[in-house]
Parts: sequence; structure tokens; C-alpha cells
Amino acid sequence: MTVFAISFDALTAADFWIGVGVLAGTYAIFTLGLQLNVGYTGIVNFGQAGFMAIGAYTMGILVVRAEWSLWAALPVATLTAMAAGVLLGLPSLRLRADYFAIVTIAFAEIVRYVAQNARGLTGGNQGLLGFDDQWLDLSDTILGWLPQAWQDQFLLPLLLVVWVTVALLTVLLILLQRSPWGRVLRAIREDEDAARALGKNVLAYKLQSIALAAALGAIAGYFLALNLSFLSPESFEPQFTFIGFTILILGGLASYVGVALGSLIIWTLLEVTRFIELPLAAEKVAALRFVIVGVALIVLVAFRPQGILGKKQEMVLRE
Amino acid sequence: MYAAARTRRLLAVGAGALVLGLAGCGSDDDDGGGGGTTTTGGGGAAQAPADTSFELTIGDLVPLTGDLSPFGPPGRKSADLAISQIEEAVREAGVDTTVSIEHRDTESSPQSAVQAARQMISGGAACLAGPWASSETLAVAESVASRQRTPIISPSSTDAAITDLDDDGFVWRTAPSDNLQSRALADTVERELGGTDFTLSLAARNDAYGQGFIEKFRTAWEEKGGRTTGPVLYDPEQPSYNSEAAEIVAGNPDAYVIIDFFETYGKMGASLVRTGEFDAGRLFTADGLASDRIPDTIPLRALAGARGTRPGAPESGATVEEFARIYRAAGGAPRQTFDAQHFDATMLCYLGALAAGSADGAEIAEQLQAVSGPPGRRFTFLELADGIRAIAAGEEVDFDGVTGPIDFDDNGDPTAATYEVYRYGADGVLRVERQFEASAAER
Amino acid sequence: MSESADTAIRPGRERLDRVAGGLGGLGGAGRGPLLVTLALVVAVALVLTIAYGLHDVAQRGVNGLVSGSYFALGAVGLTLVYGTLRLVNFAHGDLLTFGAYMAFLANVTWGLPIVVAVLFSVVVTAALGVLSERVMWRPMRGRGAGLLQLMLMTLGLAFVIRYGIQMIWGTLPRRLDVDVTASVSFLGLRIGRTELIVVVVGFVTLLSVGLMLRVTSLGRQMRALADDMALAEVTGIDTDRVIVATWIFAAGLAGLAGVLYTAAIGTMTPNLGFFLLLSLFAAVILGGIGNAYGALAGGLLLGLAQEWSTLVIDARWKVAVGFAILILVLIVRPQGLFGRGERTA
Repeated sequence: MTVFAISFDALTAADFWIGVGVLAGTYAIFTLGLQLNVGYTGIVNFGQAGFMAIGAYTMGILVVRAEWSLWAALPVATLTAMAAGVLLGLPSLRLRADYFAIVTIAFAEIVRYVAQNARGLTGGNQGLLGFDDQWLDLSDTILGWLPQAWQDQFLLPLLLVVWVTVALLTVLLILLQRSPWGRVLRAIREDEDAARALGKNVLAYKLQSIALAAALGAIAGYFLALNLSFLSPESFEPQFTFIGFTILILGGLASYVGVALGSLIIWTLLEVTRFIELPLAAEKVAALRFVIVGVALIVLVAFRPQGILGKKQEMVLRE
Repeated sequence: MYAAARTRRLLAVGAGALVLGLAGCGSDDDDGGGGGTTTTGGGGAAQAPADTSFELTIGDLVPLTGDLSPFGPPGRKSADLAISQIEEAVREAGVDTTVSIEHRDTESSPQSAVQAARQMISGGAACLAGPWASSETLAVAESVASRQRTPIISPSSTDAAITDLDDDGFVWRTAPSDNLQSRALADTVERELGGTDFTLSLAARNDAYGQGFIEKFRTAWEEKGGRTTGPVLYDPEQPSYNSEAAEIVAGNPDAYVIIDFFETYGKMGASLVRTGEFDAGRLFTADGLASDRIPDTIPLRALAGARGTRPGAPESGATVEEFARIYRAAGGAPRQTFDAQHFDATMLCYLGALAAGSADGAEIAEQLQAVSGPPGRRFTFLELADGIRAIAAGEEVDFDGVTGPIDFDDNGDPTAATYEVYRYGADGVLRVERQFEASAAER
Repeated sequence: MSESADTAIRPGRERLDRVAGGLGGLGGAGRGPLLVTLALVVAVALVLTIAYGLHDVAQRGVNGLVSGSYFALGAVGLTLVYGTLRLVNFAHGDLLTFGAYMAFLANVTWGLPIVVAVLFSVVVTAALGVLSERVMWRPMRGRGAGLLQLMLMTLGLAFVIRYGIQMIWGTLPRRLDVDVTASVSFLGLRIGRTELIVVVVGFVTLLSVGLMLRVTSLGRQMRALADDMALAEVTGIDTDRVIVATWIFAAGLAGLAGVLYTAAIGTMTPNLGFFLLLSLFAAVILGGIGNAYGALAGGLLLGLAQEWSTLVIDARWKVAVGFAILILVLIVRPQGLFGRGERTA
């Protein structure tokens, strides 16, 4: 009798990897925002799930309640999330890093409680449905372009769009980082006072950084919403941000490419462990899965604290 | 417009989708629902002797971690019990179906539920029993069930919104909608109090179940001319419910209506008793707080004497008793709300496949309504082997579950539900006082 | 420069006191913030009393004290570890859960009296804290791991503890052998008997911890460490011993908080501590990081804000109200109520 087994049949199925890929791509976009904030600007943004919720819900509300076109709703929702980033950053960016972290979590939780309790707008506990018709049409069109053999993989268009977005955003961010603007951000991370002494408006740069991160969070929110076809407050629990930070550290601080890699690894780990089979009660096996994830995290940080693509000298966040 | 977009999407999925895509068009009037399934002419399959030589994998989607984790283990155990009942009956009936079950954890999260559902389907599952939370069911319905043409049968998602889903006939549930349940409870309260000229204090856990139910109850009660205060909605994760409890008992209401699960009510009930004004004899509640005996995590005084409604079994309790017996005999997780509904959901997956004579999701979905309701020979899991023989012989059947006659309507909801009015005695034991029928047609 | 070299040679008690500012008393902040906070709380209470009547405001105030003491008791360990070791411990909530289940083991499984179970739970949870220090935190500090890396490890540890508990005890709610429905009545106000015990034990414990940090030599050393570990080491403090002591206090208090919390609310599940965690962080930050009295004040304020808010708006908003108050306070006072201003970035 097998004592411990992972059934590998499912792991060879294309659908499995497409599903993992969509999630990994979504979280990669989410975490690119964290990388910009934490890795390159030195601001510890723990409220990314809140920006994601604001983006996704604004999109959903505009389409379902105000009957906007999805394509018109996306830029407006992105701008709304960015405005929220500025509004949150304006009073709280002068806080110490650790205080700022908790304030941003508190902000994200407030957003989630609003999503849960402002029923007329957000659908509350019952959630929001029916915002993705235009996407499904586009998805069918994309599917039509693909080879015949792939036609039954209905998630394939989402996978392609997510990863094209990841690639574009990664390139864009790398270019931004090499621009004078990006160098100022890095200078702020290294030594805020020095940057200020050089006449840079540190707060303005930080606000821009957090607004951009909020936009990235919002974009991740759209993909989350399109993947589920459904928005509900449970999708935006702080857990989401915790996973984002895990990806960030795993991939390596101050590496945009590391984000995509970290996200792929984490989601492979999270999803492959679903297939663990043990002669134990179901909830115990389910729990074991997360024990394994926890141990993997600890071991990983212990043996490669700078992450996979991170550099040792970029590792320490200034306190 | 919406249905038209759907149809185009289905057409693009491939040749197999063509038939149902058109069917979806034909049922625009009721938003798809279960109606889409009956127009394809598949209903005739039950008349011809069914092919019983197929291999069926049923996917079991329960929350084993996260907020709803207390429901997972009893749910999974019920699914396993259903499978062993099926295997036994398959042997006895002499058909050569092979049935297996795959289990996945939904982590109480819509995203993980979707992920788990997709993985089970790609692993060969043709019918899913679950998911549990209404939010999980809504997400899986929209993004997996109708797109991957695989039926899901939720045992516990009572959210009224599921009735109106545009799901092409792939979303079903063995738990009645809050629409039905809340009106049944309002009728019960009226009868128990002897009128509606009373003020009820309403409260519920703030989630899709509690909040959806209590809002519908309030409407029903106020339509009858009764008065309400509240509802007080409380977050299930809170450390303290004292202030909420004070609001519930404030103004000395004639009765309380509280919709909750045991996990939260352990904390809320203690707070209510501590107010010194709470009298469980004036409490009305629903299926979420029904159990053979008040669990030891609930203070006795918070529930002893309380009355409530729960979906029950028609006519005799033999099915219910036998289910309780095999559940006990199997050891492991103790009873929990919705476990029997999950047992029925798993059963229906198999019966649908048997009637379809195939392990194809779309074909199973087409048969679910037919096997769950009239016309046809009625049977319960006690006569499962007979039922299997009847289906194999091409007869029409009507499966009655542990939780009631089921009889899926065009929306995939149980049509008529038998409700039991129960009351907890001072000793904490649940006693059924009477039964009545409530039917979805009233809405 | 010369001054610190000087102290390195002659570690005087005065110097230590000067170095060790915030961790113990209200030292760094002075009494100003305390008085302002008290004045504000009294003002809010007065306004509410005029609008809703004395009895309701007082009763909700009592309820606020109760949940406030849960937060405070849970938060003090978090603030100690954070203040002393710069470790943002996301596993702290799960230490509370661990404490609760240890008490369950002793009280229900072994049938020991609840008082013994509480002691057992405190000792075992403290041991777990020390173990984590030895196995994880000390080696990692030795390698110079950063704040974020350590935080990620605490997330991993949180998973291991929470789901380890679920593996052993399952997901069904459990309870301790105590009567959670008995209540005590005075002046028309009611409080649960176990809740009253939590409030009293909570206050006594937190005040003694604060006092310990202020007067004992161990406390002074902990404060010195909190201020500057390298400097503390140079001044001849046995940092290893002090760190272990910090963990014994922090984890032991977490265990105590977990048991008392469960005894007062009635049930426990493996998610118990995780659900509390954000409120604990809010209490820590509200009071000012690293400040034991601050955690007490922060916890109580959070509790009062949440419970009083139920008079004004629907109870389903009360958690959000707590977080909104946190953000407002920090906008006005970036270092938290009793934190010291000079560390503000």
C-alpha cells in the first residue's frame, strides 16, 4: 500500500498547467506592483489586495450597474485605483515603514468590508456577476485564431493575454527603472535624506510609485475577476497580499523578472501539493498541504534569503 | 443580448457545443437554467435501456481548510458513504458501471474552488458534488460548470441568486433556496405564535447564507403584516458579540429569529445568555442550527427550547434513520448541517450518469431533472439496487433523497421541499414536531 | 562617537536608562499623549451618553473593555518581540491558537483543572517560542537576514502551526471545560464571569509586565536591546539570555491570551489566532511599537471604538471602524499614541 503518493496523471494534463499559468500570471502582475514599491522604492505596501479590489469592483460596478462597455470601464477603474493609492499615500507615506505596512493592511481590510457591506453597489455577500460578456466574446475570437488542436482549451486566451500583459509590464517597468525617474526611486530607497538634499520631492516620487503599484494591483484584479467570472469579498482577503510578498521574496527583491519566476514556482507548489494522497482523514491531508508550503517557505528563506534572482546587496530593506 | 452573447461563445467552443448553444437560445425566457437541458430531446434517453458499462468519476468539492472547514470532513465522509452505497447497489443490481470519486479542497475560497473544479474535470470527473459556499458555487457555475459542460450539484449553497443563474442547465443544488426556506420559516413563526401582530428581533451571521436568508425572511414577515427590528448582522470572525447580543435583546421583542451556523453561534449564544434577558424558548432559527442534539460547544441555554425549520424527509423517517445509522457506523466526523444534502448530491451524480448511459458531463446534466422527480417509480437509497435496475431497464424513475423528494425544477432547485418544524428540548435533544410541504411555485 | 566609546568602557546604569527609552514605560512619550487620549475618550463617551443614554454607553463600554483586553493581552507579546528583536511576527496569532489547544489538551483530554491547564499552556507555548528562537531566529539573525526575509519566515511558521493544529485536532470547534454563560452584575451592568476574569488577569499581567520592564534589571536590559542591540552587546549585556527571556515572556503571554480568550468566548478553531492577528497588529501600532503599556492602551481603544461604534452604525461595520480609527490616529500622531517621535522616517 502506498503511504505517500502524488498522483502524476493530472500533472501531465495541459488544463492543469493552463490553470496554474493563469493564476501565476495574475499574481505576477499583482506582485510587480509590490516589487516597484518594496523592492525599488522602499515602501512596504501591504494594501495591494485593497487596490486590486478597488480596481476589480470599479470595473464590475461600471459594467453591471452603469452598463458601461468593459473596455471603457477598464481605464476608468485603473485611474480610480491610482487615485485611491494617492489618497492613501498622501497622509500615510510619512509614517515609518512598519507603521505604513499596518496602515495599508487596515486600508485593504476597510475596502473589503465596504465590498461586503455596501450591497447596493457591490452586491455584498452575494457578489457581482455578469461583467465579462465582452471579454468572453474576445476570448472566443482569440481562440478562433489558435490551431485547431487547442480549441477545447477555453482558458487559453486568458492565459495568453495574462502572460502578454506580464511580459509587457515587466519590460515597461525595467525601462522605467533605467530612466532618470527610476534612478531617483532607487536613490530614495537607498537614502531618502540624500535624495531630498538633491532637491528631489521625495513624497511626490513615492506617491507616483504607489499609484503605479495600485494600477498594477487593479490590472491583476481584472484578471482575477475574468478568471472567476465573479466578484466577491472573499477573493480579497489579506492572504492574497501575503502570497504576493512570498512571491516577491522568493523571486528576489529588486528583480522584475524574478517576480514572474517566483509566481510560477509558488503556484506550482500550491497546486501540485493538492495531489498529495495519504491514508489519513481528508482535512488532515488538506492541512498537511499547507504545512508543507509553510516548511518550504522557511527552508527557502533560510538557505537563499535573497531569493532566486535577487542580489545580496539589494536584500536589506532600510529601516 | 446576454443570452445571445452566450450562444455565440458556446458555438465557438466546438461542434459538440452546437446543440446546446441552440438550446440555450430556446430557453431565453427563463435565463437558461435547467430548462436548457430539456429542449435537446435528451429526455428520451430514460425510455430506452441504458448502457451501464461506463466508468464514472465524481468530483467531491468540499471546504477542508479556511472559514468553512468544519463542514468539509462531514461532507467528504457523506460523499464516500454515497459511493460505497452505490458500489454495493451496483453489485447487487448486476450492472457493470465503475464509479470512483476524486476529492479536492475548496479552501473556502471562490478562487481555489474554481481551480479545484477545473483540475477534477481535467482529471476526468464528469459531475461535481459541491461546492459548498454560495460564493464558491457562483464562481464555479460561471467559470467552470457551464463553460466546461459539467454539472455541479451543491449541497449547501442556498443563495437565492443561484436560482436565476444563466448556467445552461449545469448548476443544481439539493438544498432549497433561501426564497423557499425563509417563507417556510415565516409561516412557521406565524403558526407557532398564533398570528403576526408581533415584533421579531432579527439577526444573522454576515455572509451569503445568513444575510440572504434573514433579508428574505424580513420581507416575508412584513408582507404578513408583522413587525421586525434589525437585522443585526455579525461578522463570523469577531472575537466578541456582546454588543450585538445587547442589540438583539433590546426592546424585549416577542421573539427572535437568528440565522447562523454552530461555529459562530457558540460565541453568539454565550453572549446572548450573558445579557440575562435572552430566552431561547422565544428563538426561531433554521437548518443551520439543526442537529440531533445541541453540540457541546453551544451553551445549552442558548438553544434549548428553540424552534426552527429544516428541510426534512417526506412520509417516513426510515431513510433519515438509515442515513444516520450508516453515518454513525462509519466512524470519523460527527454529523454537520448539509451532510445529507451532500450525500444526495453524490447519489444524483451517479443516477444522472446511469440514466444518460454515459460519463459525459453534458449528457448527465440532461438527465438530472428526470431522475430527481416525477414521473416515474419513486425510490430512495434504501432501494438503490431496484432503482438502478429500473434505470438500466429504461424505466422512468423519481429518486427521493435523504433530505426530501428533491424534484429539481427548471432552475435546478429542489421544487417541493418538505420542512420539519423542530424544537430542542430542555435536555438538548432535537424533536420533530410536525412536517409541512413548501413549494417553489408560490414565488 | 567619543561618547559611545566612553560608554562602551563604563556601562553605567544611567546610560542604560537613557538608551532604553520606549519599551517599558511611557518614557519616550511623556504623559501628554495619555492625557489627550483620555480626554478624547471621555469626550466621546459624554457625547454618546447624551445621544444614547448612560446605561447603553456604559454597557457597551464594558463590552469594549472585554474585547480590548483580548486585544491587549494578545498584542503585548507581539510588541515585545517586535520592539526587542525587530521581528514582525505573523505567527503570533497562531501562538495564541497553540496556547488554546494546549489548554484543551490538558483540560479536556487529560481532565486536569482549568488553572493547571492554563499554567501548562503558558509553559508549553513559552517553550515553543524559545524553540523557534533557537532553531530559526537566532541562526537567521546570525546571517544578517533582513526584516522582510524574517517576516516571510514568520508567515511560513504561521502556516506550520495553524495547519499542524488542524492536522491533529481537526477543524471542528472545541471548548474548554468552563461555564461561559455565567455573568456578574453590578450597577445594572453585566459582564460574563470568565470575561471579568480575563479583564482582571489581563490588566494585572500587563501592568506587571510594564513594571517589570521598568524596574527589574532584566527589563532594563530588554529595553536596552530594543534600542540598539549592537550597543547593548558592547555594554556587556548577555544578549542571548535577554532574547530568550523576551521569547519566554512573549510566547508565554500569547499562550495565556489564547487560553483566556477561548475561556471567555467559549470555543476555539484552528483559525482563532489568525482571525485576531490584524486586530493585534492594530493594537500594537495604535499604542506605539515596542511599548507594553501602549499595547494595553491600543487594545482598549480598539475595543472601545469597535463596541461604541455599534451604537451609532450597524454592527457589521465595527471591524472597519476599528481600522479607520487606527488610520486616523496615525495621521495625527505618526509614531502611535505612546511611541517616540524620533524614529519617524
